[in-house]
Amino acid sequence: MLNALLEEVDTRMNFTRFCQIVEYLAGARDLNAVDDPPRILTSSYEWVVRCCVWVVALVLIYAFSGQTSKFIYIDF
Amino acid sequence: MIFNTFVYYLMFLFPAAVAYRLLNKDLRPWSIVLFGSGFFVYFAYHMAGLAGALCLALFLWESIISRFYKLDSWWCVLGMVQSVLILGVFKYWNFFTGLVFWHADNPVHWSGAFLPLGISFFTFEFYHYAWDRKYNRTESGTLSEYLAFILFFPTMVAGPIKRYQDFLPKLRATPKDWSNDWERGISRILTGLVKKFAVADLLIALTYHLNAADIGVAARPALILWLVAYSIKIYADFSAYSDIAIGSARLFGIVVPENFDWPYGRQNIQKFWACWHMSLTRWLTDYVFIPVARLPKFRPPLYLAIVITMLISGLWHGAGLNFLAWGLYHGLLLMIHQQWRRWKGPPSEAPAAVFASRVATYLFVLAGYSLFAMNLQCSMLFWRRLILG
Repeated sequence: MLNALLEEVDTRMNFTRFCQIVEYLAGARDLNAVDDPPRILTSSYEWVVRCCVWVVALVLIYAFSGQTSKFIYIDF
Repeated sequence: MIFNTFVYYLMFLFPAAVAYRLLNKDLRPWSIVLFGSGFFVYFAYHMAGLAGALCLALFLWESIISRFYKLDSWWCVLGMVQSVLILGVFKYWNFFTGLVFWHADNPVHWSGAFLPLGISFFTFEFYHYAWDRKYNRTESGTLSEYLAFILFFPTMVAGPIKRYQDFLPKLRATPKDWSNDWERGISRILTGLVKKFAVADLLIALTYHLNAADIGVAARPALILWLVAYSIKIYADFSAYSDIAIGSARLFGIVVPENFDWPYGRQNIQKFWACWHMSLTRWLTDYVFIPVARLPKFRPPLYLAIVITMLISGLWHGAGLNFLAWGLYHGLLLMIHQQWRRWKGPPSEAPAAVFASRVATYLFVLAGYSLFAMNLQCSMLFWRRLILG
């Protein structure tokens, strides 16, 4: 039963595709490397999504800046 | 700091990327050399003073020696030896001499010891070039191209560790598609900054407690929470650094190797290492594991080659016994995994088994962080408190 449940979850979430979309939005992947991209990312309004990502990122950076520390690996 | 300072973006990254794209083919490598030298001197001076800044001479010396590298040449061996020596003296002198004179004051202790900026990474690139030239796996390139390779500042300080044969074609190609590269690059840089500011730095409030005094009075759930927080922090911190480095390189139109591919939640420790600090794993595989496993006269068992490689990996992460123990721990995990696969055959594809293996792998990696985040005594105290209360 657990197997069936996990299979169902896996099918619904399609984790690989989800990761690809996150990577695309994060700048780590080009759109042509996303399998079956959502319609919003191929439409003429795709720039709105990208602007939203930048705005959210800038707000988060602004909100949390000022408490920054050294990157761990710089000392390695 | 570096990647989370305005100076990096306003004085180095944006001017260098614009200049690189506007200049002609012959001048592009020199623009990297110019900005890379300025970057090194500026940040090395801030971190280690004049002596740190003068370490720019290491790059110039290496670039001169590298012009003599050719197939089966002793110059290549000299290049490899000098890379190891540079790293050994600056990073491990006090550690190893301290081990030799463990019973007394270290008479050769280097009190003014400092780490040149990015030494663990640029010496690995020096070594790679010397090795690959010795076996004719890469072309020589011009002086300006090699200097651009070693002084390419987005990856100079903490990787990803590049390969010359991958870098050279990108350096020689004329960068096109300015708008796409900059949109992708800036998105990647912003992602890195969010990970650093909003995740890694926020978790300091928890990971700060991983010290003997706090561990001594903490309850079990708190100990587990701190270690889990450390596992998230180190991933967020280093992958943030890699994101910014890769995004910065993209502004030049240069694609550098990825460093992380969703490492937590992999099905076994071997897959974890294939997805964690990938450029280092590949370097260790090519320049430590394979040469050790294929030693001509004494061919060690595969397990021994694995353990030696992971011990070197541990030592590379820091000059301390805890890092050696962390390397040994991962070496043993990889060894046990190999043996387990031989014994049990291919892994089950059943979703429950896959899920369990993902969780188990994360827990083993998590346990290892106790050795990474703390010194040996503190780590032992951590486990004593966790197990015995």
